[in-house]
Amino acid sequence: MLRYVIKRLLILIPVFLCIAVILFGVAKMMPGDPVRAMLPSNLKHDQYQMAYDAMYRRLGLDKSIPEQFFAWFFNMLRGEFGWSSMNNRPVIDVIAEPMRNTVILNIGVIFLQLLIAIPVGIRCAVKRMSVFDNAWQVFSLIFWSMPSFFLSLCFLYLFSIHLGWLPFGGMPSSVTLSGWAYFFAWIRHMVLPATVLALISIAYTIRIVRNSMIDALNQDYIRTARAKGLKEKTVIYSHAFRNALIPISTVVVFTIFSLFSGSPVTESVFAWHGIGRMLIQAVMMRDTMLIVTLNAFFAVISLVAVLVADIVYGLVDPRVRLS
Amino acid sequence: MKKLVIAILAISLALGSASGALAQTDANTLVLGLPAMNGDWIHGFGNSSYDNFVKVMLHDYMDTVTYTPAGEYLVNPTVVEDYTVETDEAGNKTYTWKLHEDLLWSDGSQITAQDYVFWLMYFSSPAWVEAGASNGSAGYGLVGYEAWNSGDADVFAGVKLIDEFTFSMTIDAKELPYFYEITYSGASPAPKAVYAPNCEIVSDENGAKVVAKDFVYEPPSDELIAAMAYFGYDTDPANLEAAAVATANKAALLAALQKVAETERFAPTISSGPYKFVSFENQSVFLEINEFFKGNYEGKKPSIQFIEQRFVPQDMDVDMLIAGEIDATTGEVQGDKIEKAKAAENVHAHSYLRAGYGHFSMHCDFGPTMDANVRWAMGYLIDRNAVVDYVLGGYGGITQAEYGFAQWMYEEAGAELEELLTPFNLNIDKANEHLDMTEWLFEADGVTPFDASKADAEGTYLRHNAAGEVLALNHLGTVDNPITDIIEIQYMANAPLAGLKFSVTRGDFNALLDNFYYGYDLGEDRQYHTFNLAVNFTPAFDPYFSSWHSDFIGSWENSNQLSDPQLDELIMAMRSLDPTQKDEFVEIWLQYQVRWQQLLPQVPLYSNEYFDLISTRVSGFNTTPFATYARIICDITKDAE
Repeated sequence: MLRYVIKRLLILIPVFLCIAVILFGVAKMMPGDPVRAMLPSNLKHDQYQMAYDAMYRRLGLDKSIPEQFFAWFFNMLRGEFGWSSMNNRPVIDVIAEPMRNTVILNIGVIFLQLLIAIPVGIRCAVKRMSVFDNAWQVFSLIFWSMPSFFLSLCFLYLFSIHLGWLPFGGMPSSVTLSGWAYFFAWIRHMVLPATVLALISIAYTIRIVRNSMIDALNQDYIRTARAKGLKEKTVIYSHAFRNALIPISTVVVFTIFSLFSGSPVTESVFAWHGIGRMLIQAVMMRDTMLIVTLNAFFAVISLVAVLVADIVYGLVDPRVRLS
Repeated sequence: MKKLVIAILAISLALGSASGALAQTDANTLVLGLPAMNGDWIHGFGNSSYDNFVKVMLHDYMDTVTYTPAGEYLVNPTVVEDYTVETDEAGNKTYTWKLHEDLLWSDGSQITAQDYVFWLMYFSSPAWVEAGASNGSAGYGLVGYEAWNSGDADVFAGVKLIDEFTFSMTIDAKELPYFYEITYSGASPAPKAVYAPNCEIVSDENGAKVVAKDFVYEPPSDELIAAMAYFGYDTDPANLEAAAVATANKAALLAALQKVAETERFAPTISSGPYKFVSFENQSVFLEINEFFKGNYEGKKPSIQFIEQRFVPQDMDVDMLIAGEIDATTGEVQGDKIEKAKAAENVHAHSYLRAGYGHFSMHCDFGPTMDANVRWAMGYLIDRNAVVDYVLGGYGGITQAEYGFAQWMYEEAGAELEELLTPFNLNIDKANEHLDMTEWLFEADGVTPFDASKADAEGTYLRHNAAGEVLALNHLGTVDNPITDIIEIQYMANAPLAGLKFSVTRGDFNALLDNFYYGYDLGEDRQYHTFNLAVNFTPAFDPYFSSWHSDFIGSWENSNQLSDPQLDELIMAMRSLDPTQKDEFVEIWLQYQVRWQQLLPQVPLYSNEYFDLISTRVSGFNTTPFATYARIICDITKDAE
């Protein structure tokens, strides 16, 4: 196992290097002058060139492209991700707060998703074609196919504009609130975006769990287990569910790693200051270093998630040989 | 299972709506709902209007010269105890400011003349630009500004620190007379003790300089001097010491300002205005009242304990205002939102005319728009009333030249101006008349005369010049911009009727600024002739610095690259008046507007009527074209209910 993990980790290095080259290349090919975008607008003509030259050197653009790449790459490994032109400050300072907000929001989403979707999916499989199953299938179809912005706007209209129960969006403040009031303010602001995201995730996960369980329940060993007179709960949870775990574990692993990935549409609609909304803003404002850093980060997260999923396969299914 | 699902959903909603209906904003906090802010809280960084509200409330109330909400400049009596104005033999004019001794920073420490001199010096220094900031116009017009600003001199000759509460500023004779002379004498305080504890201000008859505190010069060793002499360097001990001191002074100021750019810029620890900075988190900035603030120019102090500027999505701000989540939103222009707010019982609207306008802007040094007749044709190919109706829901007007309805000159001579100018709107025949005076007179063969009656809406019959080149204009607008939409709709329909091919490209705002301001620098990559943007005028209307003087051809400052000797002459005549010659200023301004319209570098499309939408709990929110809510914050009050 250890040898397998080390081998996979070593493979990740050239993969990440390739991704880094592609990201850097795309960033360099983006139109526009990054220095010009960062300069203040009211410089007088004779001051402009001085400021331009200073910023050009500061960004390291006076060096060759390979030098720029390696400088950027090794700086990135040291945690220095460059300068955000949109915010005019280091990228690392810009992403910390939205990353925290996205993780907090996603914890709520994942909690709801796993708590609801797995038991419901199992029950749907066991009670296949029942009213319970059909009802959840309809639910699943509706929310999986519904665009998140539409669902968000429906919720906003219903709970904020019409009923006036929940905030329109945004984030709570620690200046005017503290203690439990601050905690409940967070919950109040989170409810709508978290519910929208959770409903969509639940809809998707229920289908995965249900289908995996139906496959498992149709296997001969389930018939054998039942013939042996085992309790139905034992058949379902010890025999069927364990064998359905591979696809489910994939969903669970990727769900957990999605903690760090924002939801651009939902965060934008609810003005949630998260990483997804920031990515949209960065793209709109052509903030190259911020876009590259976020994409590099998402790439690393994806690579690690794939590795963890593979390891989990070996753990949940002895037939999978990691070697 | 059902119980579990129902329980989770119920708990979520119950927790979320624990307090029932939405709470109203706190009585001690004024909550503004605004678009996103950048988070730059000191001057010199960023150009967001919403960040600027905060900068004004933190830093802009202790200026020696300020202006009223009506845009009238005056010496700030809260700051200035006394002042004198003297003119020397060379014609330089010196303003000597004696400050009140009871001005305090937000930490309770005293504001002194040294803080004003430090502001003038650091804000115009090359070190400030090197730290990543812009130095705007601080110190501009003073004696020795160019030398200090470029780094050629280590002393600012036009600035002198006289005593703890007195300093002087000398305006260069070559800048005088100047109609807005008083603006050259304006200065703000900067907290030298916080920004540059490693520096000192030293002043003598030659001017003021920033020196490194505690710097001790150590002469080079004899071996080094010998080596320097060998290579031909100056080894005069006095010169060596002077060079070392100058280097140390520059390095000390740069180090201090870089620290300011990395820290104070994002979280100011000290301020002189009515509020002090508390925090910027999750796109909301909080300010708290500055108990040491002496008052605005009328001596008024603010009454609301906290100010919160909160990011809200712009399509929801009015709903949030009606729901009581925010107290006000400013600068609204969309008719449907204004109507909705007006219909709400708990909201009132305050409107004012814009001191500026939105425009269809044309580069005058590139392609067909080099010809004023082509530019005039563009003026006749758009229905500007439709722009006002479509975009502003009728809340706005149309100007005929470079002015805003709220400018004092317009208030004094608006009727006369409108008589002098040529009103223009959609008129295909007029557009063809102007194009018939250009080189675009032929069909595709470059020989057969163009016949306007054959032109159609599909654009199958276009104007060409003798070389067979088609008359075509490329427009650059921005995405999700209703002005770009209406420009596309109107010109795509009307331009072909005058034999003109018009195409629209949409990019992001940075691309627009790149191509508009720096088009002259794009060489072969240059492709756009026209753009849509907007302009706002400051109380000091000086077109020398706003696009039109030929001194700035080949720089972004003359963004349309318009060069016209007659316009130059009028601009200089206007600015070279004595401040007392108000009538003469208006007279030349009228001539200027007429000439500007003849050249028509921009087609003014609309001049908005802005609306501030405000909760009925808030009073005194009487903004003007020149005074945002931040400038009148001392007049604003809020009720508990």
